[in-house]
Amino acid sequence: MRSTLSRGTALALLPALGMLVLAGCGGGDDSGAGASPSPSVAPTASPTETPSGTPSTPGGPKTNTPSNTADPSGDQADVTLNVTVANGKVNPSGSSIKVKAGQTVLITAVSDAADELHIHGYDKELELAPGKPASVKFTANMKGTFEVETHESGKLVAKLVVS
Amino acid sequence: MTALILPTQLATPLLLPLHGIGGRQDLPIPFGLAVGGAAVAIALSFAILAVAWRNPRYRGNASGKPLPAAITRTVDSSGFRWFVRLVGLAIFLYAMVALLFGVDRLTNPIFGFVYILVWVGLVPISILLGPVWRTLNPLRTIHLLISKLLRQPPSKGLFELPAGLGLWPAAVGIFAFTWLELVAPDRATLPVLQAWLALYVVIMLFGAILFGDRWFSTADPFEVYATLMSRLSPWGRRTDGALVIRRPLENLDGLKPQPGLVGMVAALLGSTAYDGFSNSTAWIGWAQNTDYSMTTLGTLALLAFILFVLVTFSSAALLAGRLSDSSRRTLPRLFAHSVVPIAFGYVVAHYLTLLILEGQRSLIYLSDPLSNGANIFGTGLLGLNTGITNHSTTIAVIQVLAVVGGHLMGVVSAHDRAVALFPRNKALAGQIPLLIVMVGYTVGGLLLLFSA
Repeated sequence: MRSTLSRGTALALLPALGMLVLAGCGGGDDSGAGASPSPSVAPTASPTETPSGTPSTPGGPKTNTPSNTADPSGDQADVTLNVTVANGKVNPSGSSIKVKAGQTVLITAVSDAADELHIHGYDKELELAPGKPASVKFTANMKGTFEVETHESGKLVAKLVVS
Repeated sequence: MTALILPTQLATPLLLPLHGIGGRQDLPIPFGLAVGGAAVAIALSFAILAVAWRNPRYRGNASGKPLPAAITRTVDSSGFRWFVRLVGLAIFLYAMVALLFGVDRLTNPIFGFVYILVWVGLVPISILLGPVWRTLNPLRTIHLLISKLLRQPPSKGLFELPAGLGLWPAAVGIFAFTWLELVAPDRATLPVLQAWLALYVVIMLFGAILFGDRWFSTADPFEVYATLMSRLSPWGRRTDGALVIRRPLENLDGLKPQPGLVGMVAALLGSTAYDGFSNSTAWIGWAQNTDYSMTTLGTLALLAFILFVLVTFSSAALLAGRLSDSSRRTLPRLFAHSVVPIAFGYVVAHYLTLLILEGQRSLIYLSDPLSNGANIFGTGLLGLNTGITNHSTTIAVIQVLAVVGGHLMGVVSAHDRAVALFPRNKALAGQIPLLIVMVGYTVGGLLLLFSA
């Protein structure tokens, strides 16, 4: 009986051990982004929230044209968010940006290191090369709270509160 | 070893939310709704205490109206049981293909499968169908098949399960899973999920070999969670073995007051509250700029939320015993069932829209387990129906109703237990500490929804 039981153990553990081995191939690596030793000067930027009073496209055409162009100059939107990533810290950091449904949102970001900025829910992403500003514009046509976060440094920049 | 993928290598966007899965959260509930909900909860609680029955009403597992004999016969037939078991096993094996051979990208359906369909979905499944999870539980089925192969009864193990263990292992399991879901670094990457699930499978099967299949109902966090929630369903089994339909609160009354039941409900309520708290911009804005890692801070905060519920509820139950001259050490677990509906209210408030939106996404991804363009169930090309997001007022009302409704069910359950346990003239006084703690949980829950 002892032998049958231990055989049972071995049988039961086989698939599990297999999975352990497979799982071992990937490791927990620290994000390690916190301590980059080169303190570069952060470009001055702050979350500027243009008052929603300017009805450039009041509930207008819902045909949103997400432009992934890295050319922020001359772009106009109802709500603007400027993001800075420096030394693994983000500015703004975890602030709430209020948006009315149907408004256009322009997000511009610049980072001192390669990074990615994600706007969840709307599934937009910005690839950030060091020192090069990038921007994305879209229409907030879905209500809810959406996280804007960096991927490499893993920080919450802001929440878009679309109501 | 680095799991980082360079942006240029991305075919599809790799969208890893900071917070578990799904980047959308519900809007904060309006201030008026939060205050109104709290006021209604407090007023009705004391009203219940003042006018409700003075003799215990609920008869737990002895109650219920029997279902037609044909239904009982079908449900109890071995063919039906094996059908349900094999459905559970087939779904499990399908998910394992995605887990072991899929790509490390959020389009891998395993993330939505584990975090949404299983973890959140087991609640509606248990509420609608009753205690079905223990039959669906694939690890139980695997253990049963091995036992059959070895011609041994599945209940047989090498050792007796220690009596005092109760549900404590499952409570630890709930902490371990919510830690994975809400705190663990890189939790939405394949290696992390593989490691966690491998440990889970090993611990479950190894424990079942050591202690027999009772191990699952004591240690499997998903099964124990589902069993608790199934007590809020109208379905149950009477002491005479008949399948019955009964009032959910009567069903809840039949929950066995085991050791560790308090730990289990504390882990469920505390972790859900932590989920709401850790989403707040105040917490993230502070925590991500300190010198401590988010993992350390998150672990401590999650533990603090769970311990807070454990300590406050246990103290209130013990104080209730002292106030009504019927102190005993087991009082916390005798009242713990009343936290189950409160936890259910929290779960509805926090996860309803997540289940509807991300559940759709998970079902879409499930058609393509290896991310190679397959469309096995024909759902692969469907789009997300996000229509619900435009009904923000309705969502807020449902959230508040869930929290307040769960609270009232908890108060009624605790009241019935109090008049059963405490001497008649002291029963009302004895309930006050429990009532205050419950009001605290409810106001806290509404506050979390308001400041989300």
